[in-house]
Amino acid sequence: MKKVHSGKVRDLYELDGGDLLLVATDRVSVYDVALPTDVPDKGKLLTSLSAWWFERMADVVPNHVISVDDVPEEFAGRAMRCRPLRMLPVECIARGYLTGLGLREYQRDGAVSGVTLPEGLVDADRLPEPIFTPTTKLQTESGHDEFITFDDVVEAVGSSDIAEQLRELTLDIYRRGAARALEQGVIIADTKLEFGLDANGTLTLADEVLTSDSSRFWRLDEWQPGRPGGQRSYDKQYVRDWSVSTGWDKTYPGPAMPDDVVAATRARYVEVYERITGLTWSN
Amino acid sequence: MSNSDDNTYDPVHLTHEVFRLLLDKGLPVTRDGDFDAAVDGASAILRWLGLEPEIPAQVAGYRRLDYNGQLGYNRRIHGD
Repeated sequence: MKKVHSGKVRDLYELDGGDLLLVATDRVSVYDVALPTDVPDKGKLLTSLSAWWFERMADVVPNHVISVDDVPEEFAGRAMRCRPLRMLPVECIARGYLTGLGLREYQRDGAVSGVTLPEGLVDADRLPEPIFTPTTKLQTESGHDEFITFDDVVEAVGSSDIAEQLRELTLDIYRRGAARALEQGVIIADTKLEFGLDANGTLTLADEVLTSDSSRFWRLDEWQPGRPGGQRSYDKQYVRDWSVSTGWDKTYPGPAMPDDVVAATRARYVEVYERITGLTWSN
Repeated sequence: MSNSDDNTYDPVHLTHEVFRLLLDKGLPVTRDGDFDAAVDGASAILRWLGLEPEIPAQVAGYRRLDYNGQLGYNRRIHGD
């Protein structure tokens, strides 16, 4: 087993035999800085939530998961053994609510990724229908990530059929996931999905699905379109607020979290997991 | 991995080989530092040696996934 990539909160290993291992750590990043204090079980909670969604979406599209049990003991519970895919160079984003860069693009153009939207929308408004707003990690000449159009997706993946499938699958998964979460009092404002092609050329869902690292989660009972300062993140707002209260300048290294902040943050990750899945976290 | 036909070599593989080499020499090496910086360094060494650093395509595709958590997602997708 060898590490082939290390992120702030997740790592990637290549296993003997060629399978890949996606490992979620307990690290928390705030304002893009990984804090020095772990949140116990965060990696297990996000891995369990992602695995739960993969199972629920298995009738929609094949996925890259081989097993969450057949993993090295040291990573038990926090890792997924996956099939390597030829990853497509597009981040497939579905939005059910208007915020962030999408809001800015809307305010400038009245449209997001070429999709025209009704007039008069404000930050965090629910959209009439979810929209597909793909992007790429390749930076533009201006140095910023920008949304790309559907035609750009066709060019990036080299096939209009695959591009069309990406759009339909992304919106289908988002609609299903958002509906389930909403029943449980959680708004999934938007989400990012990644796909690849397996050895047979079959479009396959990869990475993680509908976790708080790849989506925006808001509490339904706190949702307030147009709220000054924006919506509050369901699970990370507590640690964000605390980190700002310390006077931290949001640069490396971040402050160490006291025990009560760790406990409160962990409790929110558990709450999100239990609300969405309807299961009790017993780890 | 290495490919003698087109003079390429996997810089990730090279970092692991260097780790094992130094370990065998009894040096107190760890892998606690910046892994991606190490891979960048290995790539530079390969280029200096006239080889082209190349990570296997299937792994390279996964390396471009977002491994940085919610704030990285927010920054890239939402610009905040």
